[in-house]
Amino acid sequence: MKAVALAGVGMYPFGRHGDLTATEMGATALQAALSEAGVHRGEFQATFCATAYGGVAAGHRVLSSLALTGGPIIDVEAGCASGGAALGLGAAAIQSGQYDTVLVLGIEKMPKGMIRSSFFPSWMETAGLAATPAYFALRAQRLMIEQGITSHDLADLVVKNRANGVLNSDAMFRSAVTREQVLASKLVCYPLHLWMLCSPNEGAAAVVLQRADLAPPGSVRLLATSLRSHLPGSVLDESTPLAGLSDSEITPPSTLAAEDAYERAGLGPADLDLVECQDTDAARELLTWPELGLCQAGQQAQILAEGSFALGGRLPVNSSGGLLSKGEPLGASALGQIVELVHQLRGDAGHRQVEAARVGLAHTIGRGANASVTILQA
Amino acid sequence: MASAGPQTDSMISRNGDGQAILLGGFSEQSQHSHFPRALVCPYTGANDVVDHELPSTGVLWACTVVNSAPPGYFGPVPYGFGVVQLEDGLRILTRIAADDPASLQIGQPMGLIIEDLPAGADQDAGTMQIWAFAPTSDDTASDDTASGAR
Repeated sequence: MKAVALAGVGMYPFGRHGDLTATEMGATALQAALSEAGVHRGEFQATFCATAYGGVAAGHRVLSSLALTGGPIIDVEAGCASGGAALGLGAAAIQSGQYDTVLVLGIEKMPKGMIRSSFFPSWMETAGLAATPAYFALRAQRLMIEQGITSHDLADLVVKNRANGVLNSDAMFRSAVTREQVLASKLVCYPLHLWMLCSPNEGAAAVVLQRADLAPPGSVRLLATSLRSHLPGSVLDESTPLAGLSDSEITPPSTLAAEDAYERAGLGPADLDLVECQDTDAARELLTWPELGLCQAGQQAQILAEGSFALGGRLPVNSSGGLLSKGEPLGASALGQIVELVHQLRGDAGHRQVEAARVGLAHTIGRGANASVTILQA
Repeated sequence: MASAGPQTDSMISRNGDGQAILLGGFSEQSQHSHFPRALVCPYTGANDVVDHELPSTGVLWACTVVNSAPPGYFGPVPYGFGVVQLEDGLRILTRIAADDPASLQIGQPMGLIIEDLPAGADQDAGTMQIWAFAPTSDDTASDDTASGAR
């Protein structure tokens, strides 16, 4: 199996960008990644473009705008994990020997306000059963009951990520917040306040994957990437069924993806130097820590209090500021995490640099359910 | 009188006493009930699903309040939204009908009712029927749920 390197990365900052199209944002991110990699027209064989709201042939529009068409261009949709799915397809094509250089792109321009998802049939909308933040809220409430999390812990998680976002010029929200401010923000659905939820927004991220022996010296390596869906039965998982069973015996999709990625990378949670993980809402990140094996269930409050997962702690989680600082453009968000890990592992993350970072993990979980886990090494 | 919406009339029925009933499925092989009725057991894939009337009572397992109308919804806000664990163990996603859903305790006994909701923004859009659960008594919640719904 051929080793895969990340030869170049690029971003269009996540935020709200007026009339700018997803195509234009994608072109900017892609040009930056190609420039870093030193890859030109005719020097790559395929493109995988992650998007959930981009419409027909969204990737073609980006490559057309840069006169880069001719090879296969495939749009990839897997909910919040779309970028992870695209990355996995690109990596597999290189590992198998089919291609030596592949572009992976994520673009999105989300509608404003509460996300309207084609995932729900219209009768569920009419019935009031398609209120996305309410699902997050129920999951948060069960986390509080089952793992001893308090409202203060949910707020402290936001404080942690927003503090990191201050140091990220690509973040949408760049101000630090306090626990009191988070708890004073508008109550959306108990126990979740507005600042505990990420903002759907717009942006793009791009990665040039290349056979490691062809990539520029010092390129970050892709050790493993895994995409998994849910096992049936859990009423509150991201597949959002109308009913479920007792779920204590059901392995969540994030754990399925993480265990697969750890095994293929030949390492475990103790080997990680930093993690980017899905913080769609504050509870989602706290729920994810034990699902990825970063801690035991029930240890989250202590970890928050001790700052173990803050910048400067033993395992910084969401050094980029996470989605709570960056916002979430669905198709681009997972690749945004990859861009952050690459900067950290190259040692060029500026004021938020994690010291001596060698191994990083990126995780997404969302509608489907879809979960992706990617492990990179300097 | 409101008519059952075409989307939910396969899920909702009434017994001889006029009592609302939810129609699910049951697999002898897996010994699990499910909702709504599916082609195969949604938990094991067993291909022996038969019609099954779900218990109409249970306890509150999770509950929140939706304060602003989500896209495509024309009913009143705020409204309660949560999960009720039925007597057979099935956990069902549901509207929560209560004057103050935020005051309900996890573990609170709940019973099935049917609500009529506007099917569209216009007055002549008609209504749809949807299941909901309402508190059935003021019993205090069980000990392990002291944190409550709120």
